[in-house]
Amino acid sequence: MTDPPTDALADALADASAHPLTEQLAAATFESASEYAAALERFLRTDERAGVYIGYRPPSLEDSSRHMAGLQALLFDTGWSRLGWPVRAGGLGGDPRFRAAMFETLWKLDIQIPEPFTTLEILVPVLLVFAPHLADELLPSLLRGDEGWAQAFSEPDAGSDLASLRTRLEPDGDGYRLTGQKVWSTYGHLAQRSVLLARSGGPGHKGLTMVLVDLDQTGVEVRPIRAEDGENHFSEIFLDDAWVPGDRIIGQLGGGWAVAMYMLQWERGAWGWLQQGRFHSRLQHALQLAPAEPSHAASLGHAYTLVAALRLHTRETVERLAREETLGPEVSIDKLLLIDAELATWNAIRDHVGPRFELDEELHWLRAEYLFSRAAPIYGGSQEIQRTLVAQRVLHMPRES
Amino acid sequence: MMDQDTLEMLRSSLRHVLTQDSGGPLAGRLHELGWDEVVADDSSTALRTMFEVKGDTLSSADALGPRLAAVLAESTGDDRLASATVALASPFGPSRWDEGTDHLVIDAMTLSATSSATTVVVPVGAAPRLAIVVAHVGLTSTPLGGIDESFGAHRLTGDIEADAIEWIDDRLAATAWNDVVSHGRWLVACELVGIARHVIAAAAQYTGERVQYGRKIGTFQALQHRVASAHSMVIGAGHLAAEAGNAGDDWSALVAKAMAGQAAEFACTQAQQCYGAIGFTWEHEFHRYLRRTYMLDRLFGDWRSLEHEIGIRLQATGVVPHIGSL
Ligand SMILES: Cc1cc2nc3c(=O)[nH]c(=O)nc-3n(C[C@H](O)[C@H](O)[C@H](O)COP(=O)(O)OP(=O)(O)OC[C@H]3O[C@@H](n4cnc5c(N)ncnc54)[C@H](O)[C@@H]3O)c2cc1C
Repeated sequence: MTDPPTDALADALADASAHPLTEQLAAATFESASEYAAALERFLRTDERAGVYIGYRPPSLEDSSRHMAGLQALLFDTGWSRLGWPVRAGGLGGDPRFRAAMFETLWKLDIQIPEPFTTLEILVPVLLVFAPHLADELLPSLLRGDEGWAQAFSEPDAGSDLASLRTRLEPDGDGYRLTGQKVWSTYGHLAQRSVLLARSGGPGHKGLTMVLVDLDQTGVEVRPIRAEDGENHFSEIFLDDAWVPGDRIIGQLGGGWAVAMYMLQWERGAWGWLQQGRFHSRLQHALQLAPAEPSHAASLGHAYTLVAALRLHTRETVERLAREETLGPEVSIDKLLLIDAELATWNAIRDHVGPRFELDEELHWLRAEYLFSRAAPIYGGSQEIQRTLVAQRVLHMPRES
Repeated sequence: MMDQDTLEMLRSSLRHVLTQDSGGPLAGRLHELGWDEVVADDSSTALRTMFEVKGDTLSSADALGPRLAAVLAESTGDDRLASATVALASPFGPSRWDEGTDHLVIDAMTLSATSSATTVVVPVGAAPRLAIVVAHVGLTSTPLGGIDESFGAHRLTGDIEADAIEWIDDRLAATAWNDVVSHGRWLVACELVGIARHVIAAAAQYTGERVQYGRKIGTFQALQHRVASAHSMVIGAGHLAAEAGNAGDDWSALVAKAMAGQAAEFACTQAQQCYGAIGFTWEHEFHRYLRRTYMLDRLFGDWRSLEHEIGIRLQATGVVPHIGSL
């Protein structure tokens, strides 16, 4: 990530802050994702509008969501976040490595990445494949932060056993009606729409359909839920005959499981890359917060080692996704490495910071992230579920008949 | 870069070469394989593959010694050292300079037997000075069995007078030894990865054969989770070992060795539990992999010490570097 941009490119980018960069910043301008990253870094370091985000710690998720959306708007209007997305959907072309490089660069500069922005890495690739018309229509406003989306799969009685979910999708005229309850939906109360998995047919995974539903309509009630980190991190969604237009089906009617499975390679794979950037950044930051204590060196070294392993493994995943390979159950390995790295990172940070960690008001944000890290073995398929998948589907250990 | 088919062929030839009992020293057998060309073409992949196969097969061939000598010769620019035996610190040492007698009292470890006809390089002290001893009759090489009889380690002892010793220039010695240690860490990391993969695959297979309570024991989730957690760790270790070879720097070798040591130990722990008592016997191969793991983990620093060292370095610099780029 150290190659300087070419001279011609540097000139073209010099007035990036004055004029919105658009088509001149097409993927073809860059020889590699690292060249793009170096150019982006220069932009972020010199543009005043970007400067306010460097080292900025959002006081709380809800109060800062508008401010953080401003960063998304800036990156979109200047063109930087449009790389890695197809031109037809409002992107500037190039493969997902550009997105990976963008996130890496933001973390490197200690710029907090808005959560809805990271959610796109999970939700949008699915749209591009299974509902391109929706991607074309909505990607720009999503990327720009004009709207945010949530993922609504889990239900009170369907957590790990997702295929047992009960929220009904019934045909009605030229669309559908949704009735049921969703829970643990990250940022649901701050989102305008949700990608939602519902039951349109009989029991089991064959009867499921993925839809995109507007959350600001009658028939939908969203209530925030306070999470362990003290934030209203996720929400429950009550659906009572909520309307879904006919063109908001993602994939086939009854094909929701395939869509959910496709999503996993992004939710477990690309996500891991994003997170390793954050762990490097947070470890780096923590080192500045307290004097070094030799007795904590082992904990720090352990965390670093696991984060480095996560980085290299998810780099391979990003490269495979960029080559449009379909990843199978092996993405559970990404998630297992993420869990180990995330827990170890935050343990090391807590060790390093010492007793101030629990008590210093200034470290509120750090504590919140620490507490949030405890969710790593739960969300997106628990550690147990991932281990079972690796054992049975990757290592082919026997299954109970 | 080697393609998949070439790599497969290389693996099977190496498997043969590394496990052949007869056929002369390893160097000769490798030469017949056209090894030098393979290394010249893509040394990082070739060497990684060789040590992975060595781990997988538990080969006793001393592949590492010649590599350490090659690196030492390159770093010092002294071609004579390419065929030397590089001694490592031994737990019975250290080798020390005796002021009273003006002799070097050697107590070191070599990775295979040392004959009195070879040139030996001996590290002396913590930030070692490097002594070159050319074909000296006063050197004694005795097998060090210890935990792993088949590993081939030997204890090197001797009492050598000052004028039979040549010292490598101190500044050159510091960087050269650093290079030797890093290269060693990288290759041992690859070998540990080879061991860990073998141990996991063998354990997974066994759980599909053994039946208790009328079911294959591999259907028990407790065992599935043990094996799967070891597998993800070894995948991580494999990436670090590969990257350390491509990057060729001290830092990534250090991290790769730390990860490989713990991944191999963890894999052994999980596999052992899958086997039950059979894995606890000499009838079964498992104990040999466990022994080799301990032996290799100790070479160039056990994983806990290395993680401590990584932490100390991070604390000292205040910088958390990225290994590998997009
Ligand atoms: C921070 C956070 C964010 C989330 N965001 C979203 C979101 O945006 N959208 C969304 O839809 N959901 C979201 N979730 C929900 C998440 O997907 C579920 O929590 C997860 O699938 C586990 O379901 P559960 O919580 O009901 O736990 P359960 O399924 O009840 O599991 C409880 C325990 O039992 C274990 N267990 C369950 N089944 C098995 C089995 N077969 N074998 C072994 N052990 C088993 C689990 O591993 C776990 O330890 C989020 C959760 C968290 C914590």
